[in-house]
Amino acid sequence: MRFARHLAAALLAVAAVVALGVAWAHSSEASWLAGPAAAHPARFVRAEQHIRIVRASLRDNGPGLSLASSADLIHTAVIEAAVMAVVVAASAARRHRRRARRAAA
Amino acid sequence: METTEAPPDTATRTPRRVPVRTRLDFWFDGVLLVAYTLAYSLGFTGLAIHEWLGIGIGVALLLHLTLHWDWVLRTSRRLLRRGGRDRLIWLVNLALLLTMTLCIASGVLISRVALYQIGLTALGGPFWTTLHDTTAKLTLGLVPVHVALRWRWIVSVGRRLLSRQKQAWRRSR
Repeated sequence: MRFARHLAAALLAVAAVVALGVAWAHSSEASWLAGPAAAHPARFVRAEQHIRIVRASLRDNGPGLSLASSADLIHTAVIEAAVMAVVVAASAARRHRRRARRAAA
Repeated sequence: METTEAPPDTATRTPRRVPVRTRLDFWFDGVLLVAYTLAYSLGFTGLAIHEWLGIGIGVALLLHLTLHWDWVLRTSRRLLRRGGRDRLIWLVNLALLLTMTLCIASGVLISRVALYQIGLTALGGPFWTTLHDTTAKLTLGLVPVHVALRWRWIVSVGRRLLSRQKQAWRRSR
């Protein structure tokens, strides 16, 4: 019961954010993000045009992993590791300073 | 987000049992981080896996948020009274909720493979494409910060899990 209540609350929070996004897409402020072409963002792509795009995409990218482009994965992992290292170092330094201050007092 | 406090282990002491909920949080969040890293690397996964992984991450994040909803309520209430680190974590998590939700929602709307495979046609548009690109870049900055702000909990639980596994392995020999 508690889980269902929390799930409902989480769903509501996510729905509110999505609603904000949709409202933004339909407001005049949408052009601020994507330029003047975004004035009518919610256009349906014509079916046959869409199918052509999907077929080309599947042909070009393939359905599975493309291990030849592992540089992309390494690039993501390096950025994540670098950001984490900075935050951990800052947190450790802050902790060290606090301990030193406490010891001095 | 919510963490179970764990005192640091020493080599001489028998490691405390790791509660099921803590183990669930540790492994579930670890898998989520790996899935996110893969999903962000579009050149590695290809479009089909990128889109399905993104949808899977959306469902998993909803579960993650549900599992930590207590923390959200508790910290939001405490926010006015206490400042400092909790406030920073709360702000990072709020930013992550906004960017990740918008990234996944816009990703679904511009999907070219996943929606087609389930027989739906995507809504296109430059707004959603730009929003997807921008929020994805923002999440790449926020996700590691979100993880690293809990590094002490990760190290502590990881150490306990590892030492218990080592002990079980020694016993079995």
